[in-house]
Amino acid sequence: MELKEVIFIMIALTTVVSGWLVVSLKNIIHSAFALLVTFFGVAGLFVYLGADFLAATQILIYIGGVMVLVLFAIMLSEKVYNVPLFQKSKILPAILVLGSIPYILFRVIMEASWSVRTGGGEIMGPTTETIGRLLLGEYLLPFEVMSVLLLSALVGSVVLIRKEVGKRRGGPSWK
Amino acid sequence: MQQNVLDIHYLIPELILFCTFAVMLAADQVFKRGRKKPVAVMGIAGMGLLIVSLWQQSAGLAETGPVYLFSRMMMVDPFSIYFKWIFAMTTMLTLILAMRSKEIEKQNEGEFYTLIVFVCLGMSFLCSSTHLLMIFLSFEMISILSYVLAGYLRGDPRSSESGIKYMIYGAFTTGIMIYGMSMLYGLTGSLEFHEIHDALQGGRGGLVPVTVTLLMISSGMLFKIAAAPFHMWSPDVYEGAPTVATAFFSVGPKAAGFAVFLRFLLTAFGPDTPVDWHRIIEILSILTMTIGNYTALRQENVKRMLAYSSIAQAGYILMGLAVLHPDGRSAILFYLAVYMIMNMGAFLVVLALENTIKSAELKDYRGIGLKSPLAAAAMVIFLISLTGLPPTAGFVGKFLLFKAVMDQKLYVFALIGVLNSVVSLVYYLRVVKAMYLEISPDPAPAEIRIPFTYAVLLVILIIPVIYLGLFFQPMYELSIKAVFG
Repeated sequence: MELKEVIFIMIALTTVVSGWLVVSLKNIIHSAFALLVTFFGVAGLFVYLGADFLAATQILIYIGGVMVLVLFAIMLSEKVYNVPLFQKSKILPAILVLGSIPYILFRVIMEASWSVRTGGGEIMGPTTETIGRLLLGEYLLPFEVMSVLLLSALVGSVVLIRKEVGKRRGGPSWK
Repeated sequence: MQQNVLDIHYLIPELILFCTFAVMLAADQVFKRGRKKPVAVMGIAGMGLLIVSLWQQSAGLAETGPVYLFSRMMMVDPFSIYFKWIFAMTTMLTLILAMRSKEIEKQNEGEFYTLIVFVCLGMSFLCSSTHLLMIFLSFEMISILSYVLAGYLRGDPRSSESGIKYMIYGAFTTGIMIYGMSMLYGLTGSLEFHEIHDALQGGRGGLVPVTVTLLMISSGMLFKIAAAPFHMWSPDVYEGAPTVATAFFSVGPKAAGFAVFLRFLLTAFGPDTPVDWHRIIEILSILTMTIGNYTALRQENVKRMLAYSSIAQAGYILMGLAVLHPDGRSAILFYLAVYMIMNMGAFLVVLALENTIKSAELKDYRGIGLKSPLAAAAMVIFLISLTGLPPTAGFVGKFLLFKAVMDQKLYVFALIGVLNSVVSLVYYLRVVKAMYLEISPDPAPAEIRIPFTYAVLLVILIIPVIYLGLFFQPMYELSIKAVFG
């Protein structure tokens, strides 16, 4: 086994195992920390694929921003430590779904003739410049629409969390 | 990069929408609580401007032909302009409806108007996208704000439930859709419809992977049009959401979903691609209309019944797509325009009555025929049109759909459609029966007053339903032009 394969298996294992921990751990804070490791694993995958810019943003935004927000949200909500995380499992449907989806995906992956672009032993360079040019050239419209979309999401969330009309100021709004 | 600057000229309708949104958002801060009506008026004016600009654009397009914009991210053609007209009308009607709705008045009404206009922006991007990335972005623009609109009634647990349900189902199907998109990119090496088509024609992919990918991407779009098996969300969401939002969801995002579904299937999976998708659509269409109609039979709430009826309507409209012929497509476009008018009309009646009797239960509709003759008569006309009986526009729409199916010699399919229409007559007539033949046990409001705006709007909506049922030629030609260019 070559070194790069070993590295890939390590990254992939980290991602998958921590992802499994996120859904199986009983304590919600432990789940959140497992999610942190998953994000690191995904960043590692990006590095492995030579997408340095994506890897950096993954760490900055997901680990630096989203994870911190998730932890804050957990801390600020009531009854953090004893949240009963349970599922009423229905074994038969679960087995059917868990059996059929991987089967279909596996068939797709094996049968498909993927459109692969091989680098041919090139040395990986920084991708930031290309991304920047694409964002302001070919992908200008999606880039702008994305900012509009974020604005709308912002307005929408403010609408939802705002105090109700006619309610007195002060005091928690959920009471 | 120079081209991007030149293309802005074709983006004027979307820019108008965005400017309307921005102005409304700012104006909402200026006007005092309880006096937000001017915000809605601004929105209506913006929609008027939009319609004018679309008119100009379609006149300009007659000379140049369809235009691709921004490195083939989207395209302006008669098809997208036709849909933008529908969206502009829907948004305008919704704004007028919202202005007099008691439900909305108790909330922060300014933002409601603003968000409706914003969803319209998303819909108009969606119907002209020719690139999977743009589709995803405009999809989210519609979805995220729809969740907010559905859960708009603060303090009403049913509205919150509706918002959360919509969000969970929506996020899940969007996840499946974007997974499918990534696989399609992996198979064909492109996100642009024509390049995908070329790659698929060249035999890229293989049958099973391409079919699975198609199904995954379709699931997101079928969710938006509330077709089976992705229809579960719609009754709960429609019932819990404010009635104005329900009226909007049942027409606007649904039409947008059809626009993108048509364009995606006909361009990316156009002729000579390995997947025989019209068989799949045929099965889905039969499933959708049957499930919608038979479940509607048992409903005791008019809003919920109209939700199931709109599922069934989506089934009829899918018939036109199952037909591999342009006639089917022009029938879809015609039907969508008619559907917009009659469904908005039916919801307008529900809303007008709800303002007074505070209920949408069928048992509270007893005796409405005497208490509010105009609303009851209007409801009858809209329901007859939804069933597809002459002399209404709904009849012409359904006739064109069934004719397109018959021309392709799919007799069994057409028969199922007709039988379903008969079933639908039963539950539509239950409303009529309650309104006219049953007597309310509580004679308390001897007369139900409808706001003047609603009364005028009802008459304005009845006219095209009757008129298009008798003189449908100009409208039909418009829909043919939208398909053939």
